[in-house]
Amino acid sequence: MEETGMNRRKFLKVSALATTTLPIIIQGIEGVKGGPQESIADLIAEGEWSPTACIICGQGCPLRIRVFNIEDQERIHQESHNVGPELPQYFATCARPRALGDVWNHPDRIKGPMIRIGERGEGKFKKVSWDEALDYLADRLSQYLDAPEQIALFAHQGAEKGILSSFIKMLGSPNITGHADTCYTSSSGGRWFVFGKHITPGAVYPDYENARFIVFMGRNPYGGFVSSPWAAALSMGYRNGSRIVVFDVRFSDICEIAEKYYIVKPGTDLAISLAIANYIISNQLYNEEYLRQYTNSSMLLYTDDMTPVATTTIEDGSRSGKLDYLVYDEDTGDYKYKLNASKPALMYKGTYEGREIASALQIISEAIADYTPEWAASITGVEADEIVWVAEELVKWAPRSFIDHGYKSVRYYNEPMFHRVNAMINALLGSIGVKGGWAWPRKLKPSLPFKFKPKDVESVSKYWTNNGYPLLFSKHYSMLMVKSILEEKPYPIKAAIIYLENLVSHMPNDDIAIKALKKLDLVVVIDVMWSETCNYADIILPIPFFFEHDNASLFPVKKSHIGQICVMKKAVDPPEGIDVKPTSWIVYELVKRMKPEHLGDIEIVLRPTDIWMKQCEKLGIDYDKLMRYGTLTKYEEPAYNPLTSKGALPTKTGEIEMISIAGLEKFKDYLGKENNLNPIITWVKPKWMDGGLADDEFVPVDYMNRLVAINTWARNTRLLLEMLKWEEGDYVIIHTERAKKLGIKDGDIVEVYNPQDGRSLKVKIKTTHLISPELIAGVHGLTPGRHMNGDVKFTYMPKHGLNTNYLAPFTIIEGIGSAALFDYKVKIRR
Amino acid sequence: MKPAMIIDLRRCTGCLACVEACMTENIVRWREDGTYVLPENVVAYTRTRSRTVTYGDTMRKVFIQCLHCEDPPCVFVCPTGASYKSEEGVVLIDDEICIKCKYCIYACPYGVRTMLETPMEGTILHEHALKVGVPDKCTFCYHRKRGESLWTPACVEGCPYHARLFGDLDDPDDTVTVLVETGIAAMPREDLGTSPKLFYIPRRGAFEIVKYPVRRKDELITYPVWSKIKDTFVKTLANIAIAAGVLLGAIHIVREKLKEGGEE
Repeated sequence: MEETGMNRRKFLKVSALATTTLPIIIQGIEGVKGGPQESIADLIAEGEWSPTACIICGQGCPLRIRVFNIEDQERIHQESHNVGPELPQYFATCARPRALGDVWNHPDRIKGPMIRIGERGEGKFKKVSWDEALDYLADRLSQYLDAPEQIALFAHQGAEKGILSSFIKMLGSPNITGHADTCYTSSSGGRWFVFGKHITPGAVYPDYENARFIVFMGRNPYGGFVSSPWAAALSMGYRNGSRIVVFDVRFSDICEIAEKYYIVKPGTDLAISLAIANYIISNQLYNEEYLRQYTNSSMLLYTDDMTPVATTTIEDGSRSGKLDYLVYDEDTGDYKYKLNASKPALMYKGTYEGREIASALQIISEAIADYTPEWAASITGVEADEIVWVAEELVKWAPRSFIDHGYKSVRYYNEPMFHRVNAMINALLGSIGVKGGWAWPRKLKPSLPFKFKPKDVESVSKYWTNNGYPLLFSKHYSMLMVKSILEEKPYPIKAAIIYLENLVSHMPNDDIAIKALKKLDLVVVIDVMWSETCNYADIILPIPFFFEHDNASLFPVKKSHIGQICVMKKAVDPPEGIDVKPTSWIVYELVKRMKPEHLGDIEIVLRPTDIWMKQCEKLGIDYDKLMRYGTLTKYEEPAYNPLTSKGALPTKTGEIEMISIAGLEKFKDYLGKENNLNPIITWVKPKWMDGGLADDEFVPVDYMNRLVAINTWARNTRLLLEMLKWEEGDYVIIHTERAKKLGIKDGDIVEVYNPQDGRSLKVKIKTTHLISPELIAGVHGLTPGRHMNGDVKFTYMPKHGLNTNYLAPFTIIEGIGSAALFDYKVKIRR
Repeated sequence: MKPAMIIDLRRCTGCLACVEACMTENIVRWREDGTYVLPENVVAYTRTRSRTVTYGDTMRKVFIQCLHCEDPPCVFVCPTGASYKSEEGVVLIDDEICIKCKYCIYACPYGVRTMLETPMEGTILHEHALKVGVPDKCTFCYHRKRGESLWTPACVEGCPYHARLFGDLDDPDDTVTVLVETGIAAMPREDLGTSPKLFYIPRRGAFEIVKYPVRRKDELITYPVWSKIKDTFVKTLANIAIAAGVLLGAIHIVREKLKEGGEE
């Protein structure tokens, strides 16, 4: 009896114990083994850092790469932004370069030189040795040495771009272009009328940090591809109390910090600007002293033919060689040259020798008198009271208030005029070249220790300058280059080298881009990862990532306001199996084969440190300090001088011109016309407004995002795309009401197509009410569309996305040569 | 030393560099060929991540992470002590004694804890990195601590716009201490009563402090099918077994007592 009791008791005790503890043990077994004794984090902390500059978006933000070893294998980790000594804690890198550790061994890196097999467009290549590739290329290019102008170079970015351009000039061709006619040459060209030359985004430093009131129109410094430097200044300004107002076609990132934001109809911002300018001038709220001293507002012109009443050339001083002009002196009541007048009249009307005359500002005020806030309200959808409020705040806080100069600005046909008017408004406020307004950034521009002159033949840019595009930007005219290829004017282009540039993705109308490439005899692509353009190449030469070699030139930090410069050193070798060579070596080898007589001039590119030393000496930079810290500068603040530190602008008068004198000469025939080239500011309608929008018609807009960039490195990176997806950046947005009408719901996949020729893309839809109803909008370039054939692959890129360039018509804005990438209509269907 | 963090929303531009810094510091693993291994929907497991609130005509983005409360509910509810506060006040997880009951995840009123349940290959970066099947959260990068001095977490180091500050509340001269004590840096949802040590300097309007965002749909814990079955049945069986064990034990004791009584 006792035994059984004991057994049962024991049994019950044991089972009670077991049933309580067993589940705990079972779940505990799923524990994880720990990492190695010395963790990878420890190894990273012990590694050496190497300085370089990030060119994912091309701007050269100073960067440190930490190199360490895991079991004898070198690995990299982007440590952080780099701040050199005595530099303000200013420059910092955005999220993108932190993905370099992943991108270094990306599956879509081009593994070695490739020569096409099959047809152009099939994307089929065979890997060859460098000797074979260079012999092939040298042989093909040598065929054009008698007429080297038949070789064109499309080059975008990188520290060694200059070496390649020099090589092309050495061969004799003057035909070199960048891509920015599809980026910003509408704004830079529009500003030609005010400043006498193209004023690019990098030529202005918006002094956000010191501003009190900032108006953004179609610009989002927190969201652009080029974000870091200006975002830093803007966030500092906001923290300091700057007030921000935004006009945009949708709720953008900076609307979060805006005091007020207004959603406007696409391409109508010009109406707001004209109304603001009209309000300021008609109520005499402009900065009189500033206009008198720094602008040609008081210049007298004959109103019958718009010519200056009298001019004379200045002989000395900062404006020597520039024009002085007749004004009406209010103090003495007579006409004088402005340099002799004590109070030139800004608003004046009268007669001179029997003819009607008026001051430039008077002429403008009459020309824009009808552009009232009510008029602008009817076009844009923004209330008149609000436009008046913005104008009054701009005046109240002047000169520490301004309208931002923008960046990507090739969106609507009227965009050149829009940016011209904005520059003029800032002149009315007196905020150009002053603290808290538009400042002029300091620049340190390193040059190479050799220079070659191309053959003395009419270049493509010269030809188009004389044939319809007098204001084209001679550094960036890629669409006109493509036009030359297609039309064989001024002569046939037979070969194109495309360097770290994605022609097929940036050219409006990808059909045209493909047609041009297929017409050429030879297409050479030089890049790091597969791109859309690679599909149509004959030969592809892969170069290393910027941190895998000593770059044979110093690199300026592009949007620095204090002339910061970087040295780009090698951090790590390319991964095993990736057979790449730097641009400098490629050029050396081609010169050896094609122009051996110049080998002596060029061989210095194989010794980057020698080039760095020469560049430091020329720029007055301490070489040892630069090598030690990776980044340095010479300046402490930007230039605050209205007419720049030279004391004169490139205009005819050397002043800020409210009516461009050179413009009056060049574009007389456009007076009175609704055209960007009218020397006097005027309303120009966006093209999409013709005929209105049907129920299924939209204006396609793509905006930038600082997690991706124009080249495939960032568009095809897991870490960055995961973060983009987390924030639903891979969706394309339309207004809730329009979606309802078409029966489209969040998450639906629809086709967006150009009704003119059927080119289409598939996109994933999300709806919101914080967008102008005309729009279909998404992050730029998230999908390669149909340009993914054969060996050309984009492993991580989303399947759906918008690239307005693919669908756009090949429109080149008259006179300026820039694009209008959103100014057309698309339809959508399931 | 009592580390605390401030996120200055006036300087934050929402660029997600901090998220990526945390990802490459704590979440990713390395393969032999030097590429990263990422869990699916990696940002849902990254210890700091953005949450966007749409409110009327405005949207606000806020970065959330463990607030290292002085009075943390996640430590209070943990049955084994796996969720604990270090001597510096940093709330950490001891994965070796964690029984994965997930009480800590549910207990957090700010909804910052996560748990990765799908397997992940590759070598983890350090002892306090993301582990499969263990509740996870920001550790203020405690693995970067060396000796007795204050360290810099990866997100603070990675922020390009000086929007993140990390300091020592025991040091009266520390910038973080000054900003907290002068009230410039505010506690989000102070009413929850947990005394967090992650503060926010609000943008004009203090929107983010009042309308602090809770977890999103894709941040809820999800299970692969087998785990679901296992959890439904094994957990239930375990609970039944425990209950049965307790009951049997009680019956046994009662019977013993009765027997003793009977024998006498």
